[in-house]
Amino acid sequence: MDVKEQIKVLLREAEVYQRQGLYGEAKIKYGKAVDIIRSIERVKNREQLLEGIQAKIDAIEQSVQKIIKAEMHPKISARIQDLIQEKFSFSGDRDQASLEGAIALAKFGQYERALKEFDSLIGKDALRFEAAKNMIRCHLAMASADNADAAVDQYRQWLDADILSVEELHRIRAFLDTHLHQKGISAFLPIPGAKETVAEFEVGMPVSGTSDETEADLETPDEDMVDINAVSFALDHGPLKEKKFELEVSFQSGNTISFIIPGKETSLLDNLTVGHKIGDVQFFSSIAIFEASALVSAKTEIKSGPKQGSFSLDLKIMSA
Amino acid sequence: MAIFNLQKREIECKIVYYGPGRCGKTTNLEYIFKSFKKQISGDMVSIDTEGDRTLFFDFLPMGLGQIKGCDVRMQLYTVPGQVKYSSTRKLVLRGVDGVVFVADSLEIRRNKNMLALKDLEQNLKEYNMSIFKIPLVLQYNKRDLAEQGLPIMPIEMLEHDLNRQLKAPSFPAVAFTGEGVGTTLKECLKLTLKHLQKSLQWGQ
Ligand SMILES: Nc1nc2c(ncn2[C@@H]2O[C@H](COP(=O)(O)OP(=O)(O)OP(=O)(O)O)[C@@H](O)[C@H]2O)c(=O)[nH]1
Ligand SMILES: [Mg+2]
Repeated sequence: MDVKEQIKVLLREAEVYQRQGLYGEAKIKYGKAVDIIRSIERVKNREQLLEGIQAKIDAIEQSVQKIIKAEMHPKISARIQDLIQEKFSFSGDRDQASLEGAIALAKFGQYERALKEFDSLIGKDALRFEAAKNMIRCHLAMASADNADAAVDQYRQWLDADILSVEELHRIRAFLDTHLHQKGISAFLPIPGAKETVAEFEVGMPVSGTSDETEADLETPDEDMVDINAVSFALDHGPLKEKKFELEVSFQSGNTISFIIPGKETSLLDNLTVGHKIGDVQFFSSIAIFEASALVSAKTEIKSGPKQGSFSLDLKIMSA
Repeated sequence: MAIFNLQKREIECKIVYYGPGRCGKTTNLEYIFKSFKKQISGDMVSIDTEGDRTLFFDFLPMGLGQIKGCDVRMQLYTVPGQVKYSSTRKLVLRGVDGVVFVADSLEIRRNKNMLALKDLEQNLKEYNMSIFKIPLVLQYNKRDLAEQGLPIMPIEMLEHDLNRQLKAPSFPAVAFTGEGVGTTLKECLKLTLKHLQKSLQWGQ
């Protein structure tokens, strides 16, 4: 094939690829044509030809940039949101199907609508916790990288309302805490059942024998908890029974301490299920070592970032 | 996972068009929407992004009328082919009853075809489905580009790359003129309904 023909073929290919939106492929072909044209001198209108091709390459670059910058989760019409909700719920159970529909809306980035749906499901006992957790997810997804105020506000509202049980609030708190931690945001998350918000007004009041008191006693207020650097414990069951584990604390919020555990530590992770209580844990702080039991309050797989595949594990210190 | 309403004698099933980015999935559905007016039971919904690329999915509802005493409704979806929308592809695939895999005949897309087929296999596996068992039809699209002098793969090469083990029915196509589009869809419907009849023991 003579050179002229070769250039012509390359340009024709590049144009078709460009029209089809195969930009990478088009650029390669234009580039090859440019190389050939540059390598020979006796091409007619050489500079004009090169300029023309460069303009096409520039146009491709612009299209690529637009694609890269395009909104991943644009807001779509209510009618299409309805369609998503209907078509992406699969369960035969109506309530469960509603939850699935709302989760699909969130997955397609329709956070505001999803929030409304979750909010309407929170009154249903069987869905309450999942709905609440997903609301926190939506708030976090909508927030900018360094701001989680809406999620924190939502959590605080639940603390004051009679919607979620103390146990559920603990799980929500641990969930939110892990996410804030991953985002590098520090926020004060009052501990459920501890009634700290009320305590401000009750300083110095004689303790009355109400049931609130026993609940409050279970929790150590944030400011009383020393900084813990590491823990050591043995498992009380499973194949690794009695093997000593030492974990370094990666984050602490009041009496909940978090660890990052590599995903490959399966035997340890399998034994530490949420709700599992570990007796005789040694807590190492810079001023003292003390022993207490601890409750696994959350275990979340880290889905992105350098720690991807590891687990964030929360332990709640039960009683000193 | 078709929805089978025994009382109302209704079946609703889902066919998904899968394949690499820009292979012509949306073009298939657009042609079906234009040309099968009688069977189309509602609007085609496309949620796309910059450059006409599918962002979430395309959706096209069809009614096939009574088959073996059942009112059969078929819903066609396309997935977004761009690599970065992997989680959306998986989401759209959920509950699928039959798959049309659209391959791009352009030689430069050879690898992309194979990667997309692997991706399909993987995503089906995550729903406990096997690419060998699901009703599946392959379509080799953009056959017209040979006439414009563009390098496209011969059918044998596509068969070798993609269909050596699967041995699924396969058809050449030119999606924007409609060539092969109806044949592909009909074959997929046929396989899907046969499969459903067996698994739901309907009409037996
Ligand atoms: N020449 C030719 N072009 C086609 C054919 N089918 C589709 N195209 C073109 O290929 C490009 C991509 O087509 P789409 O249908 O949007 O591809 P898609 O698979 O839906 O792409 P994504 O949504 O990004 O995954 C468009 O420019 C179509 O016009 C065909 O048979 N021949
Ligand atoms: Mg498309």
